[in-house]
Amino acid sequence: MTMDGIRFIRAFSPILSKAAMQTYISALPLMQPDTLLFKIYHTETTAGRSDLQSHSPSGWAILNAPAEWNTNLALDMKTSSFASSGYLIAQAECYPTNRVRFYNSRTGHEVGLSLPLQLPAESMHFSPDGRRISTVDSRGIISIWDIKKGLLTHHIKSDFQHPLIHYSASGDRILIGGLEPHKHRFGDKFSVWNTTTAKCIREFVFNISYWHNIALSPDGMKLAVHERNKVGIRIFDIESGELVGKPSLAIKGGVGQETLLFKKVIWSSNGDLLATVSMQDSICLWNTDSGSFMLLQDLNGSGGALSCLAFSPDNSCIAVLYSYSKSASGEDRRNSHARIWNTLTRKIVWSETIPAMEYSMSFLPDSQEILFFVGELNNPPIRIVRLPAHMSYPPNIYEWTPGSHIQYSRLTSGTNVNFTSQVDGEGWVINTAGERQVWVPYPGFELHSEDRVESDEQQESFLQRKTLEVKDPKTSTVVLRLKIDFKLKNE
Amino acid sequence: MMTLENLMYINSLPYSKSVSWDSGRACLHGTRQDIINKIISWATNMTKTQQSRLCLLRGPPGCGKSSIAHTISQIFHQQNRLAAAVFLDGCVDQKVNTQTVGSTIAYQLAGYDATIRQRMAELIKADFSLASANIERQLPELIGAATHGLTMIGPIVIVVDDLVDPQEQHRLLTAIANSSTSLPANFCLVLTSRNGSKLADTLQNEANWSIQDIGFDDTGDGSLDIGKYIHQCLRQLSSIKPNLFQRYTLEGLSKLLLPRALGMHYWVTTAYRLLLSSSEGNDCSILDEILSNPLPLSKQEAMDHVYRATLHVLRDISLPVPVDAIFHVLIQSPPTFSPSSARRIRPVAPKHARAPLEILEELDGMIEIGRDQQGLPLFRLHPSFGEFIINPQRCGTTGFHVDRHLPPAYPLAELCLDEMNHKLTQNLCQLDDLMVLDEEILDREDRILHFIPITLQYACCQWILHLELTSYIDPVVPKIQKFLFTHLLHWFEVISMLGHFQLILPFLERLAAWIKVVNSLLNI
Repeated sequence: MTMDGIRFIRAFSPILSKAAMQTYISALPLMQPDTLLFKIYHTETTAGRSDLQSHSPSGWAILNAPAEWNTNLALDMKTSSFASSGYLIAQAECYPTNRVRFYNSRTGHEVGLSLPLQLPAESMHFSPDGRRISTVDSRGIISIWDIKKGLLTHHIKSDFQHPLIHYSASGDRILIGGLEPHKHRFGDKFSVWNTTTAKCIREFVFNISYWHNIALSPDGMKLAVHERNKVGIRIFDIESGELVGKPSLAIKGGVGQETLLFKKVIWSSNGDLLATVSMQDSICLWNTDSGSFMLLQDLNGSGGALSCLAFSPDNSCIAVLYSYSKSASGEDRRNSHARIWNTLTRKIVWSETIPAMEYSMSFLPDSQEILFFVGELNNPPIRIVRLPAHMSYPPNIYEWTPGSHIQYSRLTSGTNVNFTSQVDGEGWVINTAGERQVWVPYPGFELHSEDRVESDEQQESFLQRKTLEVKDPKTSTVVLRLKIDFKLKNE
Repeated sequence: MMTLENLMYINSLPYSKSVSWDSGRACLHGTRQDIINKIISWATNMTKTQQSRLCLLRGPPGCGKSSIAHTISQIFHQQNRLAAAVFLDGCVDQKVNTQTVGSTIAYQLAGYDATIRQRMAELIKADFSLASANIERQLPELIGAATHGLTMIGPIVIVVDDLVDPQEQHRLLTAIANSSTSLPANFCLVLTSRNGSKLADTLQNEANWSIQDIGFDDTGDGSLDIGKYIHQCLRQLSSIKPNLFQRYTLEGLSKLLLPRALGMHYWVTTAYRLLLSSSEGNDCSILDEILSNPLPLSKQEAMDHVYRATLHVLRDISLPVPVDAIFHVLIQSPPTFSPSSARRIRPVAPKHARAPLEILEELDGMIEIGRDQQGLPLFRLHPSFGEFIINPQRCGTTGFHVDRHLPPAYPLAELCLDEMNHKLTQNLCQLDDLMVLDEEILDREDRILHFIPITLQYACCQWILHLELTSYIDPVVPKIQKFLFTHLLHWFEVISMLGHFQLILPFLERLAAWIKVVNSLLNI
């Protein structure tokens, strides 16, 4: 319930902060119908409004591609690396321009300042808060940039030929590791740096097989490590360098030992959970306090290979992408399979095949949308949105299926139940007498209302039944549908 | 036999009895803290710096020099570092002069350390005239010689209050200034002197003297003596509360209050703010109560009179939560009275839900000790009030008493949740037009005052704070469940109406963190 409350407030703060009573009148009907908050409170009668029901679409869905995608954006010979985070994507260009440019991840339009580089960036890493980006050049030098100001803040010279980086959530600390010079294997040295002072905090020595076998905790205080040929995960305190926590997360029983050999470890955004991917692509969620775990998915023998794994910023779900080089019928075809689990219930909430090989995956900060960037950037990313789409910020444009609607009864003292043809600039739906009726998160959208044809003869007291549709003015897509039974108030 | 002989020689010194320090004359706990800390720091670090080994507290008569000296004596006595303390103003058994001071310091030093006693006895035995010598001789030849080369680690403190006779005081300071180098390096002397002493002024430039100017009050500008300060406060009061002066003239009231303040500016400030903030009618009865008490014999008793009157007022004021519950939280925040513990009592949104802490602050039963990084005030109980409220003998008649060893009588988290669960309802402000924006409600402030009681405002803006502080989880769980499943949206509404919408998200995130902590016990 607390998490639902947080979601409710985040989604509807623009109106709730201005009008207290819209908590019940506008926000509650728009709330996701399968949440505990809606189930508990939808029966509460607000003066003049009752019988609230919501048949709004719920869950995750692939959104139609945006019409205005910048088709000039492409991964080509001039591009040396690419990274995505939240609302931003970054593309590093090679000689002669040698710069990093940023684009809006929803539209592909260039935003912000470009960063001038001395040498082409071989890889780039966004900090999770989206404020910093680090670029790595062929000399192994890591440059940390303030994205908003377009300024280089620090240089860090690493000992690696191709340094790799993990950020803490605030971006204040980074973990650096990488391939040893002139060797094609991971070095056993790892160092944690303060990005504000560009000073090394502590160095560690681990024997790992994959870069993703080591992960910096969101608070930047701990390291989770899975060492080569060792079962389980150990957690180290960075300040002391000591092992911490109860478990080494190497609980035996329940699953085979081979399931506890990992190729990937990631922290949830709040540090409560760890997700691991085994050598056989089985995914486990671990509670970092108790060491208890749950097997989410066992892909052993499916022919797919896990390529992306990410927690949503609010930790409510975890998204996974598998790549397949062949289709089920055996023909050569590159595609991916995406799945989303609820981290609380550990159940799959969405599963779909994406007809392309993914390139990168990122959650938007409100946890309501995931972007899958495919190999060719002149195509827009595949957008997976959490419905109802109006709970995203800014709201997504997603067409409501014909049967989807929000329904309630409303007492009215007058006969004027006709609406204007447009939502006003603040999001108010107004009747022809100029009175506010309800608030929707689509300012300036078209309004279409009609009397509903289905009438209930037994309910003779009905004055009027209205269907109110909010439409995108560009595409006439219906983004919200309200069905309101107006009852005459007995004076 | 040897010991007895030594004692006989020591007893031959013409020392004065009844001149030691007196805890009853020390500063009220929590007052003059800055200067006291400064002197303690000076004495503690003196041996390291060697810059000054003599500290002179200088100020006008009645400014509190002697009280500070008594406090310093008490503090170093508790550390077993007070070698001698001479306060001759209460001495009635003999004529007071510099010789008395020298002999009394010597006598007390002999009592402080057995080696000194042995050496002094031998010195007097060798030259009996030393026992009745003047201070100019006694300091180097008796005291200096007896302490020479002693191995004593850490500061050893000697406190000497000033002499009434200016000539004798001049002689005392001169003798000490000339002979101080004959004492071991870790000996430091704290002396007091009235303003106007020319010698005290000339010592200002001496390297081995640390001169501390003492004002009347370290919270104000310190320029007014207690009589003038009372007069100034009463004059301000007379313009604001003329009804108080229907039965008293300003001068008459000033004379009545002077012997009750016992020289304490803090007493006057507390009484003044109490009278200022009390309603008409109450103020007269408070004044009557203060004046009806017999003249206090100690500073503590004087403060008790004001504190009792304060609590009688608090008992009659309608506050969001019981005042003693707040006292309890403050007292129980470990370590007791530490400024850092007050951080936990920080009011989150004091604008509308005026916290009882602020009311106490107005009454000066509390003092503000600073602001945190967000600029919010941090509070603690005034130490002297803290001592009062935990002592049943002192606060017994008021009906307020905090036993710091007992769990709080008022579980504030439960009270806040009960308040919300009982009073929150939809459209609490009874708006006729539900589509109106908060800022368009013309009588919003009036509606808030009328429909959202101050207790509910407090609960809505502070519940998470008390929830985080509570250590009694079990009774809170069902109340939290009721709040979440019945009144969550009502709470959103009220907070939006109060204009504190920005509090909701942090509160819910803190609640989620709290639930995580107690998750093994909860299933919310």
